[in-house]
Amino acid sequence: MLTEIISKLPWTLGLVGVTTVIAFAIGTLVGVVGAWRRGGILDGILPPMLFIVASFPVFFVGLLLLYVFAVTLNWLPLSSNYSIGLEPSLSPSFIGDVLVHAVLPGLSLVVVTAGLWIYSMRNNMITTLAEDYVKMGRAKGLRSWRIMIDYAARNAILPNLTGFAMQLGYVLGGSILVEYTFSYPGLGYLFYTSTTDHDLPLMQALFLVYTLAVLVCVLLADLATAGLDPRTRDA
Amino acid sequence: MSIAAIASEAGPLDPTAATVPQGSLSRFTRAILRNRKATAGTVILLILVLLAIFPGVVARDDPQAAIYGQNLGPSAQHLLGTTQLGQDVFSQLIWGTRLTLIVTVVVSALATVISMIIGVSAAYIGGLTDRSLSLLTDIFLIIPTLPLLIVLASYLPPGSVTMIVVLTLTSWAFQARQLRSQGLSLRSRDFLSAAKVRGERTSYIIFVEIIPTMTSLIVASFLGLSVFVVGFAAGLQFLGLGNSTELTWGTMLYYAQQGGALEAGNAWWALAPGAAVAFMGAGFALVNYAFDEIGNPALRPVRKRRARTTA
Repeated sequence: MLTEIISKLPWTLGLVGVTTVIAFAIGTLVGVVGAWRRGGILDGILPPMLFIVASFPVFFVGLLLLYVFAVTLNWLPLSSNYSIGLEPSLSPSFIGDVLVHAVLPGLSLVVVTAGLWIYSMRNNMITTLAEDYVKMGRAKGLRSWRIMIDYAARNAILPNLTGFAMQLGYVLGGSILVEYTFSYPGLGYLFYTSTTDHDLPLMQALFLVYTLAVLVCVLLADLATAGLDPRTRDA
Repeated sequence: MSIAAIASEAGPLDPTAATVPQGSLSRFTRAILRNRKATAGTVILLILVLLAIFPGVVARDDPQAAIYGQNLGPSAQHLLGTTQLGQDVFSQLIWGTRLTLIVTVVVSALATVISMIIGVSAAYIGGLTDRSLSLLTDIFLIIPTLPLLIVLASYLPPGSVTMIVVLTLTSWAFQARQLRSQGLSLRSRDFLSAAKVRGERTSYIIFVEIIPTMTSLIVASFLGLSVFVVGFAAGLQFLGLGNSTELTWGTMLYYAQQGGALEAGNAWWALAPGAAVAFMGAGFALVNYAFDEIGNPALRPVRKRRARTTA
């Protein structure tokens, strides 16, 4: 059981890790810039649109992408993590094959989670921009990107970092559905097969792995918060 | 967070008003009509409610009867084609609305009530009660929801009741935390001290004095929960953890996935119920988004280009 979990772990870790970082980066950037330029495309159109997309179930986005890019256009593979017959190795062709297989599952997760980050980052940023120290920065004649990044965004990101750990549970849940939709053989797919086989010990072990993953991320988020916010260091 | 900001214009302080009084209801209607997102969301939800109550008006075919050709494409007789067994997909979609909507609304309502009781009690009573209730909330907040749902759902007999119990148990924590922090800010208000001096019971103070002042935050909690519950319920059924004899969008997706609908060229069978789940989720999300804007004027859309200092 342990070897099974360990052999599947890298696939899920890679998929969820990379997509979460991408979604967090996109969401934070769009949120910051959107709130800075109120009324622009990044403020009026993209956030509400992505917020609606974020309310879509991740498997629906997955099925849609699967239908358009794999079934109709035949650009990308339908399922699995690499082509049948390939030997796992570090050769460029194998790595390319793995990446091509990860595009659609990864994209589904990014599309669904980015909206949540944009939404909360934009709201934090709007609140932060009304603070006196932002006005002070303007009065001092600082360049606007400096106010935006160092003064406003650095403070606005703090609640989001805490939210990051909280939402990881949601993203992990989404990854189970995505792996099932794409028959991607990671921990999520193993979880699914453990329910159909009624393999309760395996199910509990996987549940433990997922919970531990969230706890580790909460710790990392706390450390990052301490790094960004001096006020929390002594507490 | 933004939702907390709504509470700043919290509802009436009249202690006898357990429900929203007439005046604020018409104000609420006007606010919905003036906000385009809210109007769109409300229209979506109204359509779904009507379909759930009167499915037979739109779809005359028996949704479960496997009497048509198998894996047919869309046509005038079968707007969305038929399933692998020869059931009408459109009819299944329309009749599936009812149970999907019932599960969503019941779970969101129950979870809101639980989060209300736990969050407000923790805030008002304080001390050891607060610490233990907060610990409980934090534990549920940190446990990844879907894995827990999957484990619970596979231990219990499949069906809508299991679905409702399991989803309610796993989804109240976030809202409880928000209601607690709102409750903390009300704690030292005069009208609560007055009630205490009058000798009212704690339960009376919580339910009749505090909770009515939080109406808008509670509605926002309900809407926020609904968005997630729609997706989670369908996700569980998609994984085959629902009762496969019940007709919901989630079980339709399960059969479509098992029947290889996409690969068989029968895309509507899988995409239509997925789109329906997304449609319902979008309806709740639009109302929720608009609710944030109505409650917090700083978040409203800005039309003028040079309006950045107004926040």
